[in-house]
Amino acid sequence: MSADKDTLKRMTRQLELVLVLYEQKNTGKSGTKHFAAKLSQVDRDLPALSAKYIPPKQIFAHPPGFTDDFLDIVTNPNVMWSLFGNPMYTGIADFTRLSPDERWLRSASLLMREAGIEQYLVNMLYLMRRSIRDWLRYKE
Amino acid sequence: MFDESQTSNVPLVAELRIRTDAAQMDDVVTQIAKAFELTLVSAETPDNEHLFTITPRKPPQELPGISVIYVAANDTSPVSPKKLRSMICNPAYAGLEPYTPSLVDDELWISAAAMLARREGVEQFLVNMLYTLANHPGR
Repeated sequence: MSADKDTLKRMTRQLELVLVLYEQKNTGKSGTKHFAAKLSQVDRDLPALSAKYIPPKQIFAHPPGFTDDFLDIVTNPNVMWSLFGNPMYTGIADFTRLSPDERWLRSASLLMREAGIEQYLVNMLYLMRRSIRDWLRYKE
Repeated sequence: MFDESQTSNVPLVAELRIRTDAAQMDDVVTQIAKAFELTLVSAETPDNEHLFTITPRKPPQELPGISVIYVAANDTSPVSPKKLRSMICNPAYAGLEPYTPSLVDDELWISAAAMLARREGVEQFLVNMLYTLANHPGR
């Protein structure tokens, strides 16, 4: 694939939504990237966890207003992950619904497109399990 | 934190050269066309090599409909492609204790789910995942 550096980066991310890419290093030409590609690969390494769990109680603790605490929360990428990387908050099982399905789906798809499919799924499993633990403790 | 290209009006364009087995070329192009608009630059190339200009497709405006079926936990009927798809897109099979025990390890579920998301599209995968999940844990 050939383009300027920034375009290459974005296009690669988009291409990874339909193919598993293996970049071939040292091709020696600036503005060109070479990949081997597959539709799937079961035994490849998965990305490491890249999100932290923030409980909803903490996210919604601060009333809207430009206080430091509020700004810390709304600008924290882990807040986005904690809400839209976790489908439990659409009212799965006995969880309280925090988001309508459509809003959650639209935000989750943006997050998956941005982070990559495997990265999203790795984070999602962690966030689901962590929130279930929290929820069960809260209910006791 | 979202991709600026989704809001920018300047279209992204790159050149993409595909080299593959000639018999697979159509399938490869079809798969890439799910995420990009492709324009053939030169047809005067061997069967196993094509050069395209590509520009990313925008995410769908409308969410797709559900394309999986509900599979009950005690369902013993033969596995069909639709049932298999329902199982692959459901994270409950990777284990959501105490709601559901783990039936496959995380690596296997993630790899299978990622393959499905690439075949069917991110939005379709998420719609199906939410549907299967809503009908699974704690039921």
